[in-house]
Amino acid sequence: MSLFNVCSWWSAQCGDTVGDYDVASLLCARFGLEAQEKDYIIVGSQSGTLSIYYPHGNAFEATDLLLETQLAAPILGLYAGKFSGNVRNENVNQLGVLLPNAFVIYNVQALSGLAEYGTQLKLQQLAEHKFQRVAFSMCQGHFGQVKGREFFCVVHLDGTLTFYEQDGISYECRFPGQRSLPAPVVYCERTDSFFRLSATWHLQCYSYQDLSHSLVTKSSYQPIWSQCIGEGILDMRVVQLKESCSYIMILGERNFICLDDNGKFNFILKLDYAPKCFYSFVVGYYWEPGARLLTAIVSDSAKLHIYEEANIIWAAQWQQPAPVAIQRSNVQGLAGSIVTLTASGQLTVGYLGAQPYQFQVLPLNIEELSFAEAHKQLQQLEDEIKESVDIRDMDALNQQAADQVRISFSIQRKVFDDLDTLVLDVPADVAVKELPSAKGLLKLKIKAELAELQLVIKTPNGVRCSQETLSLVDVPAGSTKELPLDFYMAELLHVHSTRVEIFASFVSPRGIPRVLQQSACLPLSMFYRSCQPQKAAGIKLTYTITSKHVPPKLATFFGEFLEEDSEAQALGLQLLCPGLDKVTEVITVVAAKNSNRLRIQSDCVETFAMILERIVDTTLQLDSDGSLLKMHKRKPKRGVLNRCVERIMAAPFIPTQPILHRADVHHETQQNIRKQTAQLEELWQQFKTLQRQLQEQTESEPKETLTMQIEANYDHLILEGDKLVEIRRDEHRQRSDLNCAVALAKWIIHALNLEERVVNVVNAVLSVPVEDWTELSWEESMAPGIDMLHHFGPLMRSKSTSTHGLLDGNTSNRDSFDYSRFRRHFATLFDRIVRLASSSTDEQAAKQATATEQAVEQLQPAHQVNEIGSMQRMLGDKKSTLPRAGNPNLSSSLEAVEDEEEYDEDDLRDMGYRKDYGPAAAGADGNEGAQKKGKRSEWVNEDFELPTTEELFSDLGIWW
Amino acid sequence: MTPAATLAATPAATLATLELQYFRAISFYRRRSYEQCAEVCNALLQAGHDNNVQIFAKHEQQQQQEEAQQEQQQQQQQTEHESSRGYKYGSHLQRIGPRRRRGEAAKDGGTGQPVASIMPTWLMEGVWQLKMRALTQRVYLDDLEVDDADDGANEEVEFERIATAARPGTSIKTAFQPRPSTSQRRGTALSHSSGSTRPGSALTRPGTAISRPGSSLGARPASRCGTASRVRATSAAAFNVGDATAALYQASRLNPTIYAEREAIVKALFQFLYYHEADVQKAHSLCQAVLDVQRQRPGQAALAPPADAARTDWWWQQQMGRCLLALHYPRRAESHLQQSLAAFPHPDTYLLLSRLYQRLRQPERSLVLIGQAAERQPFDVTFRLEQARIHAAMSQQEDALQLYRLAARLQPINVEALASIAVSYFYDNNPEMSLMYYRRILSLGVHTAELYCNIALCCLYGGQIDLVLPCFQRALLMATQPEQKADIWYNLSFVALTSGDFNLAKRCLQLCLTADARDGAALNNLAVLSAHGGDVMGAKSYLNAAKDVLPEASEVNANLQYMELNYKL
Repeated sequence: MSLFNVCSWWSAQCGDTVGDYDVASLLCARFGLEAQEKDYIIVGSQSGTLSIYYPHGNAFEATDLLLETQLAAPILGLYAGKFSGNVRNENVNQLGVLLPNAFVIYNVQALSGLAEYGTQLKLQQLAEHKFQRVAFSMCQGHFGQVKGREFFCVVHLDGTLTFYEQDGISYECRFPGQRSLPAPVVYCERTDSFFRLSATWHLQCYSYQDLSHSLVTKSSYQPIWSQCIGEGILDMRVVQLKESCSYIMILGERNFICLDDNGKFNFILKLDYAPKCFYSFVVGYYWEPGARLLTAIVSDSAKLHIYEEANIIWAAQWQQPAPVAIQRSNVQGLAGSIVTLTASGQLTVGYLGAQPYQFQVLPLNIEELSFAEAHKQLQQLEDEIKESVDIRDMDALNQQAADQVRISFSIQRKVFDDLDTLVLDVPADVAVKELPSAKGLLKLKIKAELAELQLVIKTPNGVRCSQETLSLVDVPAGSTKELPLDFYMAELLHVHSTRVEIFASFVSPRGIPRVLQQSACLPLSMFYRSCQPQKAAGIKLTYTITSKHVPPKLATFFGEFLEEDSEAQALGLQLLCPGLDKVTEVITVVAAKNSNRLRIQSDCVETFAMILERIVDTTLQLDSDGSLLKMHKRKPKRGVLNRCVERIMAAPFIPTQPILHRADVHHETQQNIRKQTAQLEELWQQFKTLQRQLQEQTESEPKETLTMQIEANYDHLILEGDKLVEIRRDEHRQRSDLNCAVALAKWIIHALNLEERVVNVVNAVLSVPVEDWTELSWEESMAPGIDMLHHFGPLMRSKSTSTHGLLDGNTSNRDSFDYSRFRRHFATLFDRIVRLASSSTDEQAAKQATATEQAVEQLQPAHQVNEIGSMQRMLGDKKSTLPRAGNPNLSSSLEAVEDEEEYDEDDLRDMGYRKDYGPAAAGADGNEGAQKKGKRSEWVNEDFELPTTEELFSDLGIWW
Repeated sequence: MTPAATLAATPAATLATLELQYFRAISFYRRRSYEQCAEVCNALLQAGHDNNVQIFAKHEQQQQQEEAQQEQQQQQQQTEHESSRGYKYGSHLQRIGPRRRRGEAAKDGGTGQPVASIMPTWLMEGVWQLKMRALTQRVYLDDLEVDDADDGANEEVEFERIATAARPGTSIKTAFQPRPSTSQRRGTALSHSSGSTRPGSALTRPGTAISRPGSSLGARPASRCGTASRVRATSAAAFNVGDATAALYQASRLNPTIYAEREAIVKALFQFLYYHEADVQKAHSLCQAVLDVQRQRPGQAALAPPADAARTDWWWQQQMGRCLLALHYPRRAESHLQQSLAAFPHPDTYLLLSRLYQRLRQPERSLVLIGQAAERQPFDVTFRLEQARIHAAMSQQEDALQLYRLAARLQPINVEALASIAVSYFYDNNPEMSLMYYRRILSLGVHTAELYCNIALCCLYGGQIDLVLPCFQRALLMATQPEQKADIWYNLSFVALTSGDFNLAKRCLQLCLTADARDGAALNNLAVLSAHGGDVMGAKSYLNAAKDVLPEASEVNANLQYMELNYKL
């Protein structure tokens, strides 16, 4: 079996093309007009047109249409039967037409044609039964097993039934139970009962006796049986297959169900298509053996499925839309034809031929391929690729992303005092200080349609923004958004940066993600207020501004505090926040009178970060604005000096000790937290044990002791918990102090006269803000990085100075973190940087032979007194040696400091780096290897990429 | 003459006209013209609402008198308020059953008051229910047709992805062997699919997912055919945009316990919630409420009118199981489904239970169960197909194939069976036979991008090169969904590989990623091609991306391992 066609034998378009046709609109019946009569096909539309066809041959001819008439009301259904008792002829049927408010019975009469017209039919109205309620359908049959004529009952929309028995006698009744959606009601002659689908999707069987007596006796009655069908039904039919049994065939919304008249399920067939209408019939006679029960089901996709019982035996396809009504009939010339009617009135008499259904694929309309066209298509595809997956040209992608979403973000230079602390939920201790706040404006202009846009505003610790995130979904193209933002202090912490960063990440409707970043600086006046400059201070830093485009005046840098034309040489700034009572944290910036230097001095490490940031950033900004040559566009090369130095250079000095002090404090607090947590854990264990004891204790034992223990333990627990909270708060504060300290070092190194790679590496290691994790403190997470810097690369200790290298070997316990070792490495790192920077400055000076006074001074920077003031190297680093000015190798390349024999084997094994460079590197060719690999890893850190490990390794001179 | 126009023209429509409209709506419903049905219903509902017809008020009089009175007052206030402002459909409509003017109108039964007599309550209720049924039917998708048996954690799309992992493998070891032979592909597909080779999605892949959607194709209302997203995935609420009466169907405000008592509508309501609103949680709570009501009933069993309602209904047990399964509580669903099965052997119950056992990783049990069902109804292809799917999921391809053949014999137009046989031929190095089956499917009138893609692949491996590109062209023209496009481009990359044009293959894969950025197989193959082209770093990053998408895929892991070993990155 395959899929065949339903062959069309005869077809006609019914007269009324506008009106709707439904299941009940089609009727195939005989009226007993002549001896060798075949089926008439009667069609009635819902707009009231009634047509009767009698196909004569295998094509529609005008003579096939025997009657066409227009009724006043819509035709809801057509029925044929012996509705009238007056007619004596056994074979004569009457035509019953169901109208909304009446059931009309017609006698069909033939008018034999005199000429070519052929026969015509005439309708003679026999009776009209009117009713008030609108009808839904009708059910006919020999109710009560009456012989000779049929009774009928009209099913109304509201569920009531009107029975018409002998002429003129009618009564109404209702099925018990709740009203359901109108559905067909069928009558089964064998058991003299009615079937209906109840509101709960049960098929119920009512005997005619009960129904007809209910009105008389007013008694309530029950269904004889009831079976849950579980779904709505489209149509229902009763067929008698055997003497002893009739079947109820039900076309459900998803299943084809068959029950016998006792309510026993015969089968349920799950249909894998959406059924539309069906027709069940018996081939043969039920009183003879061998009668076959056949069912034709029409699917929504115009397929005809023919089943014998539940086995599919044939499938065929219509070439036209699926019909709404199907009947099997014997028309003249074609016995067992399939008569179908579509919703638009196409009437077809068809048969099941063996003509296979051939799906004709529409020819593909391919034009001659023109080069221009093809090129265009190719280009389009290429563009698609480029847009979404090709990531080779990151600059272009970023540019495109920036075009799609234009962000402009600015922060006003002015500060405001009118912050609404209540609305913004500022903590009371901060609000009391009445700190100034800043206002910013964020403008978004979205050029392309986006599926999602998320905006994150990242502020430094302690500062909060009135709106920190914003997410938009399904953003249409061309929309704009403006966000006024307030920035204010939310915690009394030392702030390490004024930079506020905005990240916009968005996803296009096609799922392509992009990220944009922008930043702006908060005004310094939010954090400082000007005060009297200090004469002397603990930490003094010097910056030399080498750029020609930057006037080395204080007003250039501190516009918030000084007039633009102010000639002030010194500026004192006092930190507003955290604004401790005892200490005033003042920083003084002094500009040299006759050279281009700035000196920044303060007693307090925390004050520096923001000031240095301002100075360095402003210089770089002004310089790149001023000079035509964009510095950062130049491709970085190996061995190039820090380009920053061409514009601003810091004196090689890092206040190591105060920075380390901050780290010490931070570390100590970390230790305390761990200790405290351990203690809490212990108490908690105790708590649990006590609770368990309480549980286990029997009723009789006294509980007083235990209760007391529990109470004491509980109090202790709470107390320690509070302590932990307190320590955590301390830690938070110390972390921000550490932030400031690290940022200070970072800004100094940023402007040191070093090889650029070194600056990048070190700055990458010293990332701010510092983070603590529950498992890993900042120190622990930093240690490997610092160790790396310590052992490898340009900062490695050289042979001549490796006096304390031996001390490093004693790290036997690798699990525990050795803070003193970390601290030592950290200190050494700074020390080396300073030494390297001062020596290279010196070298440079020597090479250029610019015998300025600066060069002279910097020969011995540690001991010299420079122009601005004595720059005493602070404290502790007793081991720092004199710069080895004479060593030509030290200039900037790593070959100079590399000496593989110097590696501390234990150390290396400890750190687990050994195997990484082991196999490839064999001593002598290490340098070559490093250089070879070095090609691949150019430093491209303008995009704030983190260096990948192998970049880091190769740059630090690990051969692999 | 549209129904809406009729009503607008004659505001004082007589009862007969309204009833006739109701008849038309039912007629539309019967003919599966659900959109038109809903339209007529809308007009009726509006007309009814204009006349303040109340629905579903009678039964609640005793239970919620107080609440109703309060509400009634509020609503009356609102009504006055709104009518003065000229709003017709105010917020008092936002309840499924607005209860208003309860006392008078209900007692009169719609005859006493001239205004209310325009539309009796039963009509309004009927229209409301009919529209609900129509909306449900319009978006109805058999949840048993949808493939969700495996992997409870992963919802639909994710599942599809995992299943497609085992596509023609290009391990990096074979990367330099431009044409992956089919047997090799079969091998990878089989050995790595580990129970996820569902014909619907996995193996049919080169093959693609034609079988399942195909089997129901054409049978579904056209509006959902193309976009047939999962039943549970999206609510069909989008259809209601611009529908003023939509407020009558706000499922979120529905109180299950109130409606559990209303036997007449509660089943339809359940289906509305489950299929139309896709609110399984709500449907479940409704189920729960109904079962609670039924459990309490035996006490007053004598009073309960329908004889069978006293014992718990198999239907509700089945729906309960369905909900629990959808909510990923297979263990809890089991008892309900077993009870339902004991009460009545409905085919859906069998299938649901089979899905359940598969989800519990007990495919043998579901095989036994489905075997019973198939014995009961040997003619029902659904069970045979289910058996075959289970076998396929258990990687018993031979058994599965036998069953698919049986299904194809029972119902020769069954697309799923044909497609599965075709796929198995394809992987059995027999693309010509496979092509025959696919052409058979094509001649059945299935006309989809996936089918063309499959035919093209068969042609490619069967040596009918001239047909390959036209078929792909057709497939591309017919592809509407990004996933389809991704599949076609992915498969096109094999054409390029076969002809040795690695550049083109790369492009194809990139286009695949353009359509669907999370296609792990494409990422993997792109990595292999990159490695082949010498861009090891690129390859590594592609592999990492692929690992992100397909953490389990053995090809990706093998490739990564290989990289680690041989490239020292």
